[in-house]
Amino acid sequence: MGASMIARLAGFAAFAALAWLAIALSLAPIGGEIGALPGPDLLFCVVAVVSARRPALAPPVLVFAIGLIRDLLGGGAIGIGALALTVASAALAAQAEALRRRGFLAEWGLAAAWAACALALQWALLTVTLAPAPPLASLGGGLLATALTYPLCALLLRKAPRRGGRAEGRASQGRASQGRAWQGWA
Amino acid sequence: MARIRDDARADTARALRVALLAALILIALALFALSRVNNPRVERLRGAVADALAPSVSVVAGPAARLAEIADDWERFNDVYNQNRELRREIQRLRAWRDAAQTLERENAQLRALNNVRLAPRMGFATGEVIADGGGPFGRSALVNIGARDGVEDGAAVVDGAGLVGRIVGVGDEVSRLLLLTDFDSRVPVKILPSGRRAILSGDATGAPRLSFVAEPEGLALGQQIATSGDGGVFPPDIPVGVVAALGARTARARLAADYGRLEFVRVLRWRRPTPADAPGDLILPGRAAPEDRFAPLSGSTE
Repeated sequence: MGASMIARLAGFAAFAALAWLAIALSLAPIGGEIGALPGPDLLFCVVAVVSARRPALAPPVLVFAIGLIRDLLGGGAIGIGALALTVASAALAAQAEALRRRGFLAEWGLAAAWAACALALQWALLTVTLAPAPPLASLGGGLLATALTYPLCALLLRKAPRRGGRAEGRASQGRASQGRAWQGWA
Repeated sequence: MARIRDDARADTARALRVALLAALILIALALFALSRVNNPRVERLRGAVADALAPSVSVVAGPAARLAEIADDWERFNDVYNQNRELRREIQRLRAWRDAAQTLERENAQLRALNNVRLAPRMGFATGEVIADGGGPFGRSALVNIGARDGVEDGAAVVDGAGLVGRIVGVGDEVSRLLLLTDFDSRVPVKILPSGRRAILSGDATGAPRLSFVAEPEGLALGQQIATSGDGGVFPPDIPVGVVAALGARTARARLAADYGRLEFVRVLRWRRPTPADAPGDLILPGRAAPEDRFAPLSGSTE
């Protein structure tokens, strides 16, 4: 196993650990009332930050698996949370290069927009299949909390993912073609 | 030439990524469809994942919850004096109620003995701790750290010290999923006291679930007690649910008795409804059935 592969696996493991931490924190029975207004979607924030900044660390299969675990642990319909997370992550990863040039405000705006799209997608799937769904307007509180949490999450994750990414970049310098294919998400 | 080869490789990689994404989308939709039709395999998968991952959730969620508690306790610290005074007054009131309750209990026991009333089947329970809050925009549920090994069954009613909290909708070996009364999927047959008129308590992700299908809604009044009716055989009858808290033109809402603000420990009831008398022989020959056959199975029952 080459150094680049080890660095890549370490990056995946770091991302998965961060995502798991986000899931566990969002499942913690804290706050005023169980089942009260939802807080920020921490997992979305983590995935969005990593997808927008180090897309190589957030492959869709891993994002999908993480989303599915959240769906299975969190209750409710299975699959649509993972679907929304994967689509949003892929879209942010596809824009990563452009976002790097445009700066943080553009990244924040796009992440918030995809958070809204992810919620709307889940709501639409529930509504189309005649499953009970909350009124679309009631999702605004959670969306706002997610959007406001994103900069904090980006600040906290500023070091860890980039460090992993640089290590990966150094390790893969000798394998340019593979590196290009891998970084194609950006 | 090398550039053309690189471009071709990039195109292939891009096509593969698109195909992979499409496959993941299809898998997600298939899983969603299976969960919508309540496929038991999906529920088993959910239980297995909860069993496997709940301990590590607790490792993170436990300290986070403790930190939140410390912050809450610090806020409440300033109110301790007032709370103490209030509690002393409350104790005085409760002493009076205790005396009244003891008198009523004695009277009740005498009347039961006189009437030779057959008491309801003995109700057991298992106490568990809420270890994770599955609350999100699309659902209201929680994980409880007791499961099939503790005798928890699917559909069992869950209460706290004050009233009904919800029901069990998925059972793992060591973890169960509790569907709160506020969840969109929650429907509980209730009766409104003292008239006993029937209604359905429907969760809608608000703190005050709706009372729908109320029989004779004209007689409803604010403050009337709500308890489970036992209709459908999922919930035991007469568990306190809450009170009528709001009356609208077309619907009413309930304020729940359960303390959702401090839901730490809950009791999962083990209750079996008595077998209905389907034939005259059942009435005159109750000993015909084996004792365990006198109870209908709870598992797999639906509201």
